[in-house]
Amino acid sequence: MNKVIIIRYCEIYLKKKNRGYFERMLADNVKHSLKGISYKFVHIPSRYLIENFDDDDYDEIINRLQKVSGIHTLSFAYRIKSDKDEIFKIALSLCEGKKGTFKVETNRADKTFPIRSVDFSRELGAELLARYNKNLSVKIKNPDFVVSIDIRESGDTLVYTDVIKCMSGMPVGSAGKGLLLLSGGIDSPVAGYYMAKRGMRLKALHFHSYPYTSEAAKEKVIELAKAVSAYSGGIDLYVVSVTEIQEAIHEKCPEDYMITILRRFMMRIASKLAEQVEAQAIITGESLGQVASQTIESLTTSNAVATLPVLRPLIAFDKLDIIAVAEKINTFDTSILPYEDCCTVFLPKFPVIKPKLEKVEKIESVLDIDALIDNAFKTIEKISV
Amino acid sequence: MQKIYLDNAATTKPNFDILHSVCDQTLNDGFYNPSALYSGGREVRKKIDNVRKQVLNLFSSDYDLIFTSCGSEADNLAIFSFAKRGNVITTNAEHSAVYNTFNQLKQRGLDVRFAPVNKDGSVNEEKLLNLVDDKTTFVSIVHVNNETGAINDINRLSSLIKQKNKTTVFHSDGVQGFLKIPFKPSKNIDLYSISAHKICALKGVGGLIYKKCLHLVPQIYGGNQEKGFRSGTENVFGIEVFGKAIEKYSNVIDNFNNAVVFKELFYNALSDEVTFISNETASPYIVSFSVPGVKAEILQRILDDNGVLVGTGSACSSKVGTSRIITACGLDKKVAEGVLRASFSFETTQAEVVSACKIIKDCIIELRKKLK
Repeated sequence: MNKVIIIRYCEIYLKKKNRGYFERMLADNVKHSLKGISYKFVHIPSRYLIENFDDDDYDEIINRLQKVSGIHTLSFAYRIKSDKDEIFKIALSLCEGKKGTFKVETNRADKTFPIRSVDFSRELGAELLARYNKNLSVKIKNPDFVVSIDIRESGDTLVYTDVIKCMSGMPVGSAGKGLLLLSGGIDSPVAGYYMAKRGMRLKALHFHSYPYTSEAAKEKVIELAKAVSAYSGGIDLYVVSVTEIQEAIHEKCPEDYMITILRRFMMRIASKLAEQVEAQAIITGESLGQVASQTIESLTTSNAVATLPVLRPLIAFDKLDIIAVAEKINTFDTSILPYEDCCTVFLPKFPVIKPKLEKVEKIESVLDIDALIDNAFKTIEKISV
Repeated sequence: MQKIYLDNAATTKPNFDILHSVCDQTLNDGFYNPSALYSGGREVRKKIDNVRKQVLNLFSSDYDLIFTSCGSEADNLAIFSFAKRGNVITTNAEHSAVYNTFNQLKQRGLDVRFAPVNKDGSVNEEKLLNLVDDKTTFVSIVHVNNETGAINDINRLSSLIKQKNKTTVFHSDGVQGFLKIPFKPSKNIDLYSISAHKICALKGVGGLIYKKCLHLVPQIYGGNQEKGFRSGTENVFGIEVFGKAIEKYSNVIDNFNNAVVFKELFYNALSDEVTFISNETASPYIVSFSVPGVKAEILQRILDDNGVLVGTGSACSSKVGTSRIITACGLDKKVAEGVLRASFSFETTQAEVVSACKIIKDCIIELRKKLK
């Protein structure tokens, strides 16, 4: 008898000739996530098994695997010899103490196993009912739990009852590299999470305005980057000061255009940095209409200076839905820490909501854009989290 | 760059010579447990009791002292010992160690009353006395407000309170007043909290001075140290440093007058640039001022970069709001958001204050230009 954790993937099944490429990438990501833990990694057809782990590490393994994109579900299982008595014994012990409705599902890949799947399920179900008739009853549609018997061709059987849902998606690294604009708010970490889930490797860029923002605001962003990196397999965080840019806009441009113009600077800096770090896209946490800078007109204005695709995974999300995900990925509590991000000090009372590109271009033409960007790049700081 | 440290109301830099001398003694023969019965232990016990006497010399013979780990613990010991029934009163501008403890009592269902304060942070005497009635069991009024420096005349206040209800127990948080404000406590002061690290000694030592006739209720039980009112092995090293600091800085009036000079330098140098919150009767050790329209924490960071360390009177992030104490003073929001606190220690020099004033002035002018 061997305790194992079954790792199942989902969308990778849809791949045909290049499925092996995705499988290998997922396997590498699993191994990377379990660094420091002792275990044996086994690849069986369409699944992976984690074996020979210490019981004390079980919770930590599950916790880490739940953050690996591409994994659909996990199950704790017993891997035993394909022997009816043995299977019954384990199934009975797994159901001890359980209450509610159940069904037995048998998958007999090993056609030499003498009992057909349907018969095996029926016999085991009867045995379970006989033993635990006070607590259990059978329900074929939507039972509380399923007793799964997976009789494999290799002569062994996996027996399990619980299925743990994971991130799903695609393995990180399978969909290129993106530069996430990480502000310190609620949305951008969630945007990063979603792109990691779709397989994108992440770099992150944070803009600060010291001394108008504090070191604590930067520390907060480092914490957020750490939280997102748990899903993206590491993140390099770049921090750039836009203080001089904000001061210049404040001095030379109308107050209500501060944010519009600042965001265009941010997009230019992001485009330039993305090229340097070989990112193929810029990722933002923008959600249509959430604030003045996220109206379609504002997005169009900032988008106009981007030289790479700008991915906005939250564009159609409601705030409450974003918050729910932020809570799930443990970034919400950090995001709401009361440290101002770079926009708030120079925040105009009435920011322009529907900027027109031609007008913005004319307004910002009084600024020495290239020099300001060059100076901003001189402040760049790279932090590995 | 050697920074000019003017946040001494938060904590002071411990005196190096004192630390050094106590360290030598401790390493040689001063490390024993003061509760140990052998000679070394008894010697350490004597040293602690000598420091106790040093503190109590500043009070009348009616008082005793319990060493605690900090001023907050002393406040808690006082409040939880006597604020139990009837109604209890404090001010809106107390240090959190008192204010939050009173809020805790409120949650437990006690009738807790908060007296409003004047614009400078001192308690409004009339309104305070209106709250006192025959069921008032406990009143706590801070001696020196830690953010504005306002001095409450606790001798007068305690006397007026006891005229209304002679059974009321009167406590004062004296953390910013001890050894800084020339003060002879009257018999109406029942309890007085102090802290070592505000007078160039170490963090980790506080004390509650209490009338011997009062029976404290321990908040920490154990080996019955400190007459059973505060169990736990005493912080011998910290207490000895505290004693040496009291000895070194015992000239309260001279030190006070030095601080008055520093405060005047601030007023003279910065009157055109800032609005002073602290008035002329406030503790000279604390100068609270605001640069209206400039958020305090921004100026604080700029000053830090330019070599001057001051405190923020308020946690001024818009998401947090202004400081509770500054808000209690009823100041305009623009003023409240910009409150900074410069505070002096016995070791602050006039040259430092002069330099700091110039740097503060230059930084304000520069920042105003950028934010215009």
